[in-house]
Amino acid sequence: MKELERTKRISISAVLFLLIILIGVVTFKKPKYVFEKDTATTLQKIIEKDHFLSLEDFNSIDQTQYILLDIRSNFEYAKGHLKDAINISTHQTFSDNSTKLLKSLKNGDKTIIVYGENPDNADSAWMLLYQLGYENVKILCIETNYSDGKFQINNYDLEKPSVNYAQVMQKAQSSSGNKNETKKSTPKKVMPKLKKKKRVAEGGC
Amino acid sequence: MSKRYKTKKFIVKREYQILAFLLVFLAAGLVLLPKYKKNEGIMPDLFVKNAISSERYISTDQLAEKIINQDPSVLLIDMRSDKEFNEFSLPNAINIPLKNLLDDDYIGYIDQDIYDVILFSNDSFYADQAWMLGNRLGFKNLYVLKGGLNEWFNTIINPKYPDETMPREAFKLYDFRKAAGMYFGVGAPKTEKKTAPTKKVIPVKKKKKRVAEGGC
Repeated sequence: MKELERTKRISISAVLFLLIILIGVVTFKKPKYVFEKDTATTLQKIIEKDHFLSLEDFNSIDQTQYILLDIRSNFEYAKGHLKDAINISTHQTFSDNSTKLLKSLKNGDKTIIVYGENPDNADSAWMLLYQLGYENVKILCIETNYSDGKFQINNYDLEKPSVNYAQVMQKAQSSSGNKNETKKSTPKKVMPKLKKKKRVAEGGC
Repeated sequence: MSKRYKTKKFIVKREYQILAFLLVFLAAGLVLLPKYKKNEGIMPDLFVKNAISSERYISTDQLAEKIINQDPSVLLIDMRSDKEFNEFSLPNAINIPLKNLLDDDYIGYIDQDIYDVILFSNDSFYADQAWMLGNRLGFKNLYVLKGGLNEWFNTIINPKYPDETMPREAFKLYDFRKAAGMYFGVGAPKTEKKTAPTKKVIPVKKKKKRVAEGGC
């Protein structure tokens, strides 16, 4: 009798054990898309700044060497786009069709050139693609807009100061007198120091 | 025959030990399984969702208002190089060059939930890139100054006078920007000083006339 109970217990535990393994295997869900590059390498890539393409450079490359990717909405694309551009707006990147297309381009020798309304928009697509592991992607530094019934593109200088800030401010201040200078220096800089201490404590935990 | 019996006996006798050994063996096998690639930060689909929304942008007018009201929750971060930062920056901004964004010294400024961190650069490109990295790592309360310093100079420091045909809001906005510009150290132009006193004179005259009429 005792012997029987013991074997029963053993078989129950064995079944349970197998069941747990089975459930684990069945419910294991592999994410469909995973970032391949971590943030440190991405930052490194950003600093190198070799992922931009100015309009001049773009015009000088052979057409067989690249594929244009328009990341604006379908509506904007329909109004006008660069010649032979493919439209995958950023939010559609993970749809079935675009995944198939992008995968076929992933390790090809063709450069994927991304453009949008401005480089800022194209950048979000670039960041996404690069971090997903696409290395052959470049941003076309142009501004596109639709005006006078025509699709128009203009060159866009990234991060170029429009004026010499320091000079403008100096001029403005010298013409307005001393009153404003006293206003400008409000004692507010204490905050960041406080924060640093708090954060260090958090890291320690 | 006897040999077979012996092995059978051995198995029965050491039943548990054999089972335990089997489990240990399987467990060891799990360790050797190929490593499943781990994703750093948030998943790509959430990344896209955040990246295409324009919630992260704050306009120069909003920022000017926050600075003037001395909003204590604002933390300004200048993403340009330290040379550019030393030449000019917004009041009370902290300089974190883009290349140092993930350094241990600086990460604390962007990875926190006490302040609204507003990133800016000459235009919004570097700030946007920094925001994307922060987004990926799941940082909260990050914002980007739309248009960056270029926009700041076009709107707050040197606002464009609206056309006569523009709605009243455009003039209100212009007045606000002009006043904000004065706060940030730009003098009021002479033309404005002229218009102010003339306006004041007119109502005084009118008042006197009305009092006389009432007397009759």
